[in-house]
Amino acid sequence: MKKLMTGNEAVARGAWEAGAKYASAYPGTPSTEILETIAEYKGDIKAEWGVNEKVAFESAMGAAFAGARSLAAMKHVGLNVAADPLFSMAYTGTNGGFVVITADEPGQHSSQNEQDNRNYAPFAKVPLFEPGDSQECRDMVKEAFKVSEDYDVPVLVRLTTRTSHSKGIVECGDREEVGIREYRKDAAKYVSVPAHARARRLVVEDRMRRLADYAEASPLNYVEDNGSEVGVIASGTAFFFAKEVFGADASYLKLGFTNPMPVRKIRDFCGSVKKIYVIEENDPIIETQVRLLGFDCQGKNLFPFCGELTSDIIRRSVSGSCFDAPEADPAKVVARPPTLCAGCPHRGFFYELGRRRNVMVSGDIGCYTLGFAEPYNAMDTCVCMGASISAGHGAQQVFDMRKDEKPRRVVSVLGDSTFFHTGINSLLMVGYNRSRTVNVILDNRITGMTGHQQNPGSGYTLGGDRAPDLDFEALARACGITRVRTIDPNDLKLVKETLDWALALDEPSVIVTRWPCALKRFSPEDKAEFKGAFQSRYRVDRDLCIGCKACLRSGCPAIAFDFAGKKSGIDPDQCVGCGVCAQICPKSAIVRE
Amino acid sequence: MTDRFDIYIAGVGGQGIGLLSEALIRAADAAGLPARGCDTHGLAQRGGSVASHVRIGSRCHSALVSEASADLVVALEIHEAVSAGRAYLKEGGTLVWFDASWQPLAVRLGEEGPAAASDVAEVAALRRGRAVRVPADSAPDPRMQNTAVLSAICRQGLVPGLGPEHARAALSDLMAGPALEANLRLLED
Repeated sequence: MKKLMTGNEAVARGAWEAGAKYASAYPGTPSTEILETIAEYKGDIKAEWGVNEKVAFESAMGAAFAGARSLAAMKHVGLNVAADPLFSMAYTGTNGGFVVITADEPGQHSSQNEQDNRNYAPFAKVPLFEPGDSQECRDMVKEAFKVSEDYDVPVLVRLTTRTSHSKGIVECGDREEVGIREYRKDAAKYVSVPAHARARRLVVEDRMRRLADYAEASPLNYVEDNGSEVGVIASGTAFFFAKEVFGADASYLKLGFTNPMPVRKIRDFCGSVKKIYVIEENDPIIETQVRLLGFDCQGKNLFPFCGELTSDIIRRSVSGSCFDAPEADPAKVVARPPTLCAGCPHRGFFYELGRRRNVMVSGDIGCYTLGFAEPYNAMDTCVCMGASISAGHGAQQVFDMRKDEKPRRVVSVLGDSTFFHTGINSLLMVGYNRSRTVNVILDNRITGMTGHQQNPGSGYTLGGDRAPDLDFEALARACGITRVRTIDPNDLKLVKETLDWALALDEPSVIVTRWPCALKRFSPEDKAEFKGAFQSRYRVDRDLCIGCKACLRSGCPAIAFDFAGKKSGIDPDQCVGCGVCAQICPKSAIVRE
Repeated sequence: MTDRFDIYIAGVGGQGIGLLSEALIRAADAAGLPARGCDTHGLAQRGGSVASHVRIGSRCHSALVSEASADLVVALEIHEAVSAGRAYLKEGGTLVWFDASWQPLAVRLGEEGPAAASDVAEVAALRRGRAVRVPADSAPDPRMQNTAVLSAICRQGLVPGLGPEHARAALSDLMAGPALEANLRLLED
């Protein structure tokens, strides 16, 4: 049976066909749709959103210990969060097959950094698969489960953005009914105290030696022979981009299983061609192996370390030019960076926060990171998930050491899902060590940026079942913070007063801004709580508008400026009636319809 | 049908680019043509520029269209039509664009001038291709701009081998009920 699938959907399909019974993930581009698709195999696979990648990994690890084929999926930086269990699980091994998907982002389309997670495989001493298209995603995930059980090891599968999001035809099969294995207590294997772990350390090395033989024998590492002039070694999606450029003018060594490397295959291939290109995105991992074997090659001397290796970039690197593209006239091309949507509940809050002076805004990762940009300029730092509250805490402690007359105050901001991810630990740090930070949880009732995944505050699970709705105020108090307020962020006066209140305190505070994402599909509870939300629209009364452009400072994409008539206008198709612009207009020219 | 036909689709996050590319791929499939594609996910969807790639035919290995090599550039917005056409339209290609304007922030703030229809025509002329304008009133509902463009593409035969019947099959795969009926009406006449 053939089906059109993205790489992420094909990973889900492969897991289902392999008989997986449990899967968990924390959403993150480009990996998000893997678990969303697995959730559609309801009844066969139990799929759950983890509150962060470490928790998701550990839940799947436990499921594998208990005997089920299990999977955890995450974006590249998520594996940093989950690195702790990965490294130790390489020692314990598994019971049921265990596969970890890392979806990397060469090119940083939607990420704070560009890291090549292939490096984790030799570092943690686990096997690594690198699918490059949808068919390979399905095939390699199935094979990864087999390898995991045959070698008693967690297996890493590395996707990249284009593998995850490209759609192609996939030849599918049926589900293999793999039973849940017997669980046996085995302290020497599963309890990683030093005495046990030292013995397991030897098992790890022996396993890698055996996996090296697997790499040589695996049909996933294959040669496509087109003569001896030029040889291309490539893995993942870079292989397909390379084929666009070299076509039948080169022989290929395609590597699908790359840790441990198939050293003999690489040596034989390099010995069979006159000129060698190694084409891999980001770090020179295969290239280093080729050079260790004593072969000269064209690698990172030619191809960029950074970004994707699309066919355009490979072509430019090899021949110095791409297809005949006209020189763009930069004056005519207007950049369009992402922006907070019309009706976004973060807008009112950042509009007010951006007007504050003598504050440092410690930011975090989510849609609201856009608060850093024009026209708000309301964020000083954004490093990694959950860091807003803890980094803000440390900064406030130092600002308070200075002998300034008016010490700088720190406002830490993060979204609901990021707070659950790793913000809770940070808030405990604040409550325990008493920095006088203002900690703001931007609760838009859903995980926004990755496309509306349920979370412990949304009242629903991935499978659509009802779940307890976490009480932010109660949690803040449990962490030792008594100054807690919940507000509507669309009410600018209330936002201003609440910031004034919090900044006047000499102790930590928590502000919860509670209003749903404008794109959220409302639950019955949302409909009851946010009655009338997004039902109205605003328009500009052109007789009253003086063309001062104050409303444009709201940064709302629904507001355009008529340069000929010198008046603002609101696109009725985009406006959802948050009313923030109406509160900014000095002439009350923006009226509700 | 040539053995490769490349389509580059550009617009603003939220305009329904993903649905348009999915419909084109499924329409190609309904016409018996091999197709693949790649969409933008994540942060850029928040009102930023987004792009989808669709490649029809057997002679392609990856899902990405190369620069200056799209047989057809599709834009759902005027500023995006200018920038996508400049980067992706191949010599003699077709640039089909929906005549709507979503002013980028720099334009709203007066730092840049807004794009005009003459800019789009100029881009097409620069590549010795043609521009096909889809007027704004061809979409009865702003959520159907993507289908209005799909309709123009299929009815004017801008993709070899794809006709309205294939678009109908594709939309029937992707939606149901009153939404499907309203969208199918756009493929008539």
